Amino acid sequence: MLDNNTVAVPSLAAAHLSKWYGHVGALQDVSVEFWPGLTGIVGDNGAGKSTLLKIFSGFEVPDGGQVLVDGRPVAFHTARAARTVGIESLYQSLALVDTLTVADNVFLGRELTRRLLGLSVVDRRAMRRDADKALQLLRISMPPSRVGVKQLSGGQRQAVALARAMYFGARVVLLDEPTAALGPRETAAFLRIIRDTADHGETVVVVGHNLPQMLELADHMLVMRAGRIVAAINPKETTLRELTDFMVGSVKEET
Amino acid sequence: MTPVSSENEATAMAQPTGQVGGGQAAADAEPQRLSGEGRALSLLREVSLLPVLILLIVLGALISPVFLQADNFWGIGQYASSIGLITAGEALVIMIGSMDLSLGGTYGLAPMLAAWLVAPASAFGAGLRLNAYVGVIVLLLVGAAVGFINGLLIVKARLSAFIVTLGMLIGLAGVQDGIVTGQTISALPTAFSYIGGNFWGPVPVSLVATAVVFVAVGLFLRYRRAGRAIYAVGGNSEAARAAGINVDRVKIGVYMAGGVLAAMGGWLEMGRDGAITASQGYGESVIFIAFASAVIGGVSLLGGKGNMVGVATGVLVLAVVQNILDLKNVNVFWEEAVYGLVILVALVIARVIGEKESQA
Repeated sequence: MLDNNTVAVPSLAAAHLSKWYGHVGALQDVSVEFWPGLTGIVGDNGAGKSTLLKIFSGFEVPDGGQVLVDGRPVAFHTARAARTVGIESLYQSLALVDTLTVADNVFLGRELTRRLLGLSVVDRRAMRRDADKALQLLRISMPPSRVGVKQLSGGQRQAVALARAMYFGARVVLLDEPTAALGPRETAAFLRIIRDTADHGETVVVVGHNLPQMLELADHMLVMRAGRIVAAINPKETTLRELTDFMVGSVKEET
Repeated sequence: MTPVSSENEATAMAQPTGQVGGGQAAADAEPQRLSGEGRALSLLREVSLLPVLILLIVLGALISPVFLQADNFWGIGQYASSIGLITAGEALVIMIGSMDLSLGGTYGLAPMLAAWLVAPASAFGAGLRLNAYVGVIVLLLVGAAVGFINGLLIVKARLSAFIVTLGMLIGLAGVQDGIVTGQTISALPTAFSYIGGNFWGPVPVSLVATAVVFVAVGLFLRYRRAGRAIYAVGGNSEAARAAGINVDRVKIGVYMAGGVLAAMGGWLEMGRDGAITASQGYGESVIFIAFASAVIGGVSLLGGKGNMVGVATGVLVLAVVQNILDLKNVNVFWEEAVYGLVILVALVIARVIGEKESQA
């Protein structure tokens, strides 16, 4: 994944991140690097997985520590700011506007425009065309993008959100429990899409509960417990048993 | 995961009913069917009031020989113009998922304040004798200012839109009444009465003006990014925020636009009457008609849905009903009751149609 003229730096990293909710340390001195490919984060409830993703996506501001994108420290307080540095997060409930079409949603807040009589007007045809194209890249069966997202299945909705991220050149895609609301068949299809995305050279970070699924999907695994990252594991060289032991803390921390 | 199996999964996703193994052809056919149906339904929505309108016109023709005369139609158009503008304002506010009852107050106070500043003291004016064109600017500014204050209270101070705008409605009506001690200001300058009261041939100028405004607002909603943002904010404000839309600014902007449109409606109404009364707006329950017209015209109270073609039809339907009641010479004491009942029935019908559509 390296060009000749780029130094090997992680696309996304955290240095000594901490976040407190009252007396609860949701994140305690977390340092971590994410590289192109698919990283899975697992851990018990309250381990800090979602907090970590929220900080990366600009929804939460850390109490201490730093986020680095391509090796450069960044500080953002909004999802928009996170996006401008190429980090996109997919949160199912927040992502789509049900009353609008697929194309409208792909271009939500970033509509394509053209000049007409000196005015900048929304170019609906270009939006439909590009939305269709972006969705085709995901190799998922979708109705044409002029259809309302209300008519889509859960997996198709996720695909719309992902197509939006990819169209706007996201290099880091964050997903929190992306298949929690999907049926088995849709889950399989959506996992294939995010696997494709990772193979395409993006940095994909997935938080999940389903350990076998994560083991099959991920290139790298991180285990979190009580606000810390307690293990970095190669999924090919681990077992469910070992993973669970790390999650509940019955193994001595090695890292 | 082999390419073959993933193809099958992709196919299955387009068929939530769970048919397996339909192959790629079935997956392609499905989207076609969906879009055809979606289109037909949106077309149905656009024209769903046309049968009602036609029915009303037939009814009107049966009830009164005057109804079908051209002059009567232009009269309906003139009446619908002032109501149309305040309805357009209310529709925008409903589209962001909110409501603004105070538009009814602005519809009366904005023209009254302008007239009061312009009219001589002998005609219940303030005695300032402001230039009439400056008066028009004041009128528009009142609309924007009231909308701005509503917006701040609702968006920034997080107060209930219902309570804020209800209080504002009554307050504005009180000021309107107070500054002229309940009197009427008539003998208006041309700047106040021309658009609302004059005709180009048989065509009321106000109808042309309102048509222009409707087309402009419709194009704005459809083709400007800020217009798209209104739908996004109304449809799912959290998604809009996450997409980088400045939700607070869109909302406050819409309250201001609503106020300006209501003030313009009041301006036309003042011209149509050739006078501004203390009861214009609040005293005539204008806000109820505007609200009902918007909802009958397909603007969803849940926000995020509606268009100006629908709003225009909604306005016309209620304007025709009002006209028929006038022609029928319904006892004036009972006219309001009949009108209210008709609106309730229309709202129920609109609701049923809306439900059918949302089941798609």
